[in-house]
Order: sequence, then structure tokens, then C-alpha cells
Amino acid sequence: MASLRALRAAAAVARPQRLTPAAFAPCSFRAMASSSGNQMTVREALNQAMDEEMRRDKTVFLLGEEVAQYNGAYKVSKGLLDKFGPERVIDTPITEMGFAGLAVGAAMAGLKPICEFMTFNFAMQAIDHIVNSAAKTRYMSGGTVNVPIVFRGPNGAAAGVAAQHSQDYAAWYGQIPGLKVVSPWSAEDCKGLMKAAIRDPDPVVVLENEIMYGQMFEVSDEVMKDDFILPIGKAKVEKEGTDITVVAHSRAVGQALEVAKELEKDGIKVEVINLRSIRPLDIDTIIKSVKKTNRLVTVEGGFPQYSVGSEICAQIMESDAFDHLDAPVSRVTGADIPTPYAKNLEDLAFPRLERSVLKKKPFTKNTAASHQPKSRFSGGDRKYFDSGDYAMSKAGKSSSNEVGSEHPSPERIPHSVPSNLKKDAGPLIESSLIHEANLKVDTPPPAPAAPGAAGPK
Amino acid sequence: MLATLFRTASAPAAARPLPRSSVAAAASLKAQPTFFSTAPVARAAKHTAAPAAADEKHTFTFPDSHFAYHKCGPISLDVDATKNEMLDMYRNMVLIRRLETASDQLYKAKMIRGFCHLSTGQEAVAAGMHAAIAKDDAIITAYRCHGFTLLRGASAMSILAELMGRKDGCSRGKGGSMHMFAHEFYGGNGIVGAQVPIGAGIALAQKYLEKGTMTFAMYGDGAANQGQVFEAYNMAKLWNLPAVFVCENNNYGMGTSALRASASTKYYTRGDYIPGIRVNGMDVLAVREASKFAREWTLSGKGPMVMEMVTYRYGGHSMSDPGTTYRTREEIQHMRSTNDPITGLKERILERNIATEDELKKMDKDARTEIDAAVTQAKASPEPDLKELFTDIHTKGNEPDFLRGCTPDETHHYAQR
Repeated sequence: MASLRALRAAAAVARPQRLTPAAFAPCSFRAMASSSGNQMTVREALNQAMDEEMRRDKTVFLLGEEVAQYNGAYKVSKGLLDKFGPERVIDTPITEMGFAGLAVGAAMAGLKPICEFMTFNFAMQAIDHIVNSAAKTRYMSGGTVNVPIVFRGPNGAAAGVAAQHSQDYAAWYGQIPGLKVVSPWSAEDCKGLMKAAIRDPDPVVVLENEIMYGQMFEVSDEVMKDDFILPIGKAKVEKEGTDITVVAHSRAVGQALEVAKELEKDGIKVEVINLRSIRPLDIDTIIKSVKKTNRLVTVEGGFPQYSVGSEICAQIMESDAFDHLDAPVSRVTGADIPTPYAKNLEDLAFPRLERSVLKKKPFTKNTAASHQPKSRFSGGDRKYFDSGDYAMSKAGKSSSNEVGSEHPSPERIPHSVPSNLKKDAGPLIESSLIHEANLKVDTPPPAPAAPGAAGPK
Repeated sequence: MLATLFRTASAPAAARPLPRSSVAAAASLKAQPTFFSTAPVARAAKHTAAPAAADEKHTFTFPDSHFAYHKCGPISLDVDATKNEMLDMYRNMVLIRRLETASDQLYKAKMIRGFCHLSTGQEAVAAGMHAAIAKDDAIITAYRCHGFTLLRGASAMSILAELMGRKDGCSRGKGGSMHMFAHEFYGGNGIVGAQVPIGAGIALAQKYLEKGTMTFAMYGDGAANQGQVFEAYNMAKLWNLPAVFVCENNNYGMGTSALRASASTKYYTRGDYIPGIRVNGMDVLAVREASKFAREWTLSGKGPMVMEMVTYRYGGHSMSDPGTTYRTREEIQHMRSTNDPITGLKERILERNIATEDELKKMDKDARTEIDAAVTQAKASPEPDLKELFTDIHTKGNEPDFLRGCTPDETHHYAQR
């Protein structure tokens, strides 16, 4: 009971500090080294990319729901109807499976369709055509039938739209041979990758993010040019660092950069890798970085099981970078739950990287340890970076628990309740624990938690 | 509707109980009592002693029951065909049947793996359509695709090699029975119904690129109940695409009879706002005439059309289906003996003395020789090179740096660019 009370107290002060769209709005990221004074939103970048490619190639056309007269549900296709006419900017009925199949057919027969899904949640209706009709046909036909098509639309969680409209499909499409999948973050990414996707002779899935559409970025003169193109399959090191590697894609890149800035104040140099491409995955860039920093955290908005982070973990395990790790790789992901509607619950369903990182500081670089396999599992001086895995429960504590012998539970995680609740405004709580605490609303008001109140029984 | 027809026509004692009201069945029977008759109505038949000249026209008259219309038509029941045209159609049907027979044997010899769907009995559909359309018109169909692949230009050898998973297969051994492609033939698709909106998309490209060609998007009576078929109808009509949706109704979606699967088995009317025509798909001439009609209809800018080719497969759904658990042997036997498309055309040719029996027999023999040679050649083709495992996933030169094999050390690295 004591521990429950303590948990509830923890929950009361653990107001989520996830960056909201509003929190994002005032800041703008400098995407290129050179400062040119050009500014562009993600929406404009996508629009410009399509505009330029449609000018360049008459076989490129856009179809989807509300793309023409309505100017796009999210205004990404704004103005294209006026520029290119109804033959090339086609409003479809609400018929995802039908128009995705139709777009694939058009691609097989000589056109280069850009097939917009109002969101990728609706593309589940059409996923057979993305996977079976588009991705596999080239192989099945022994190279005789090409499918040059782009499937694009907002992916991942928006805000306050509940479970059916909040899901990240990077892992879904990232698994399919024959597809290329990009998940751009900045305006530069969006312009360069969208243009690359349209020019690609094979099917490409472009996973945009609704929350990012209005985000303003500084871009270089080069990005403004109509021949600016980025290679699909190459990640970008957004910020160099020596102490820890954070790999993220889409919106999480911005979060990672924010956190990196915070940690910089404490002298921790985070290297932030913007994945850009989900498939092919630029594992070489990650390996190179891990060999330098010896620590790796992945961040994404998708569900944890079989996530992009999971794949990165596996590939690191299979690479020689494994021997360079000073700590297990950690994944920061969306929670393993259908996305809730209520604001407070939704906030707990997605990465709150800044809190996680701040709690676990400082983590020091310890290269000596990397060559002592025993220390990998021995707890003791090990410090961990992530927000939720079991190994973290060993951080800074010696415990009788053997790794993997039991599921973590609040009672068994020594530091699941911060010891100094009163003065620390941003304590870190595992979301599952907060969840549990929130459900106990009918319990009596909590007594102030004493340090170690939630310690092992 | 169909099932009831031949059941009553053949040995009724063996027929299984009708799944639906037999009253309704009987009514539909009365409505089209001679639907499956391919016997031509003699009309000013000329019985000349000498075989006809190659380009001489012969006129035939179809029975009324050969066609039914929905918001269009009618097609003229009188049809002209030259000796050459008829012999071409005959030869094509015989070739398809030989090809399928060879496939059947190779499958039973365990040289063909996996799924294999034969079109024996349905040859008139492929041959009749082929005779009606232009070289650059497109066809897309489902997995019962060998005949179409052959007529659209792939060699019998390449089809057989594909079936056996060989290097010289038309998909280089990577597609198999269900995934064959040829000039303006877009497969060969394994997901029931998915090819229909793809076909509408091909038609969209034809219109967009102002090619002056059209697309036949084919599906079975089983796939006719897929939602995306109706999605394709809607967009095709909305945008007036040059698409003809062809329901190849062989009366069984796998082992489920049309009556047990479709609230309306009038597939030619199921486009609602799209005109439709039902055709006796066992009569190659009728298929040709109706296909011409539909092609011209859609190319004239009138928008899409739905065709229903009523046909029958003699074999099971696939090689693993004996095809006798959901229909009677008598039913199959009856269809073979009274409605066979090859026999029907042969009778027509002989009746009018358009060619002699010896000429036709020679064609049969030639087809057999040709397919046998193709089998030998295909068998001689090696399996694909192991390097082919990693080719054709992306366009050459557009691949990722590497793709993983089953273990990390089997990872394939594409040449550095």
C-alpha cells in the first residue's frame, strides 16, 4: 500500500512534458550548415517537390482523396490543381483499395503516380496493393514489369485523434522487400526525399507526419533549387557528438535534437542521426557512430514490438559495433497500447525523450567496460539511458534479481519512484507505472513518499 | 442459374440437391433453355464440295440465348468469319488445351510445384478475346492465366519453363503458374480481385497517354464479390476509362457454386450504372463478337462495360482439387460432350466445309508436336542461377547497397555504383 501511495504521488507530479505541436512551433531547426535566410515549412517542401517533379515529367500525376479541389486534406497539394489541371491532379472517391490498385495499374502501364493517402491509417485498406501489387511485381515478373509509384501521406500519431488514427507504419512497410520507405523529418528531407521517391523507378512509401507539416525550417539555397535531391537509403548525422548515439526518424529527430541540446549543458555530447530512410536502412552510419560513442538509443513513435528500433538493435547485434557497446541498446518507442484519446493518457503513449534522458544523466563514457563482458550484466556502476526496459532497473543499484528471471513490477524496480518528489519538477516514471497509479483514483490521498518507499520487498 | 441448366439437361438423377430454391432454378432454366447450345443455326448454309478459300466470308447466326444485355446492345446475331480467322481460333484453342494438358502431366510428374490452375474447358474465352482485340490493347487477369500468356505472345516453352521454375521461364522462374506476363499482358495475379482496379489503372494510363487502346480487366465469378471490383467499376465509370470488366464465370469460385456465393448471378448487370453483356463463353465466335462490341464501345468514349463470359472448367479449381466434391461427374461430362468450345467450332467448320477433317486433325497434331517440343525444351532449361535470388527486386542500378540473406553472412552486396 505504501508503494501504491507513493506511486500515486509520483503520478501527480509527473505531468508529461511531451513536446506538443505548439511547443514545437516557435523553434525552427537549421537544416543545413549554411545560413541562407530561406525558410520553408515541411508542407511547402512537399508541395514544391511535387510541383517541380510534375513540371519535369508529364507522366507524374497525383491522385487521392481531396487532393484537387479541396487542395489536400492537409493542404500539401495546395495549388497543384490550378497548375496542372484535373487530368493530373485527380480527386478520388473514398475508395482506398480501389484507387491504390488503380494507381499501381497506371504505374505498370507507363505513368508515375503519386498516390496520396489522407493518412496512412487508411492505407491499411489498401495495403494489399502496396505490398502484393506494387512491391512484388517486379520480382514476380522476372524484371519485366516496373511499378514506379509513390505512396505518400501523413503517418504516425497526430494529436487527439485516438487509436484508429494514430499509428506509425514504418515497421510495417519497412519489412517488405521491393519497397523503399522514407520517413523525412525536416523540410530539406521532405523536398529531397519526395523528389527522389518520384524519380525512383520502383515503388516508394513516403511517410510524412501531420504534426510536422506546419513546422518551419531554415534551408540552404541548394534545397531551394529544382534539382535538389537526396539519396534514398542514406541517414544524416544532424548533430555530431562523442558520448551517445541517438537514432530517430520523423518527428522524433526534433525531439532528439532538443534533448541533445539539454544534455550539452551537462557536457554530454549526443550524436543525433536522422534516419531519413527506413528501407534501405543506413546501418553503416549507425555502426560508425556507435563505434565512436559506444552507446545507442533509438527513438520512434511506433509501437515497441518489432519496431524500427528493434531492427536496429538486431542489426547492431549482428555487426561488429556490438563489441563497441558499453551498455545495451535502448529503445524509446510509443507505448504498447492502442493510442488513447484523453490528453493525459495520450501523452504517456509516445516518447517523452527529454524526461527520460534528463533522469538518467549523467551517463559517462566508459570504454574500458566494453571489453569486460561480465560488467555488461552486473549492474553496479552501469548507468542506462532509456525510459522503460528491465535492464534499467539495475541502474545504479545492486539487486538480487537476475536479468530475465521476472517481469519488472513497480515493487521490484528500486527507483520507480523518485526519491525527491518534492523538489524535482520532472521526475521520470515508467509509463506503465503511472498508468497503474492513475487507475487508482479512488485510493486515499497519498502520504509523502519516503525515499526508498517503493523499494524491493 | 448455370448449374441448374446442365443438371436438368444431363442425367438429373445424379445431380446433387440444389442449394437454392429449385423453383427459382427451374425458372431461370426456362428463361434460357438453349443457353449453352453452341449448335449454329443453319442460315443460307453453303455446302460446296471444295474447301473454302482462306479469306472467304462465312455467315453464322447465333441463337438469341447467346447474349443478354444490360443497358446496351443488341449485338447482331449474324456474324461473318473467314476460314483463316476460324482456323486461327481453332488452332489457338487447341494449343491452349495441349499446353494445359502438358502442364497437368508435368504437375503430376512433380515437375511443377505449388499452385497450378488450368483453364481446360475455358479456351474459347482467351481465343475469342484474342481474335477481337488489337496487339496493344491490354489484358490483366487472375491466376488462371496460361492461355492468355500464350496468346499475348509468350512462347509455350517460356510458359512451361516458368511453370517448372526454370531460367528460361517468361518470368525467369520467379513467378510460377500465377505470375506470367507478356506484351500488354499484366498477369497473372494471385490475389483474388486485386487485378481489377489495377486493370482500371492501366486503362487510366491508356487514356492519360492518349494511346487509343483499352484494357480488359478479368476476374472470376468468385472475385466478382470482392469489394474492390465495385470500387474499380465506380472509378472507371466516373472517369470514363476505356476498361472492359470481364467476369469469366465458370460457375464455381473454387468449390463454391455461384448460386451459393452471389446474391445475383447476373454478373453482367452488377455494374449497375455500367452497361453489361452476357456471352456464351463456350462459343468462341460469340466471345469474339462480344469482345469486339465491348472494345468499340469503350474506345468510342462511352466508358466502361461489364462482360460476363459464361464458361466452364473441366478440371478442379487447381491441381489439388479433383473438382468432383461440389459438382457431379455427370455435370462435367455433360459440359464436355455438349458444350466443348473446340468441338463446337470444329463442327461449325466441318458443317460448312470450311476445312476438311484432315486439315483439322493435322492442326491438332501440329499443336501436339509444338507443345511436346516446348516441353522438351523447357525441361532442358536449367534452374535459375542462384545469383537471381537477389535480382529484379529493384530496377538494376537502383538497388540498396545490400540485402540480407537468411543469415548475416549470406548478405548480398550489390556492386558499388
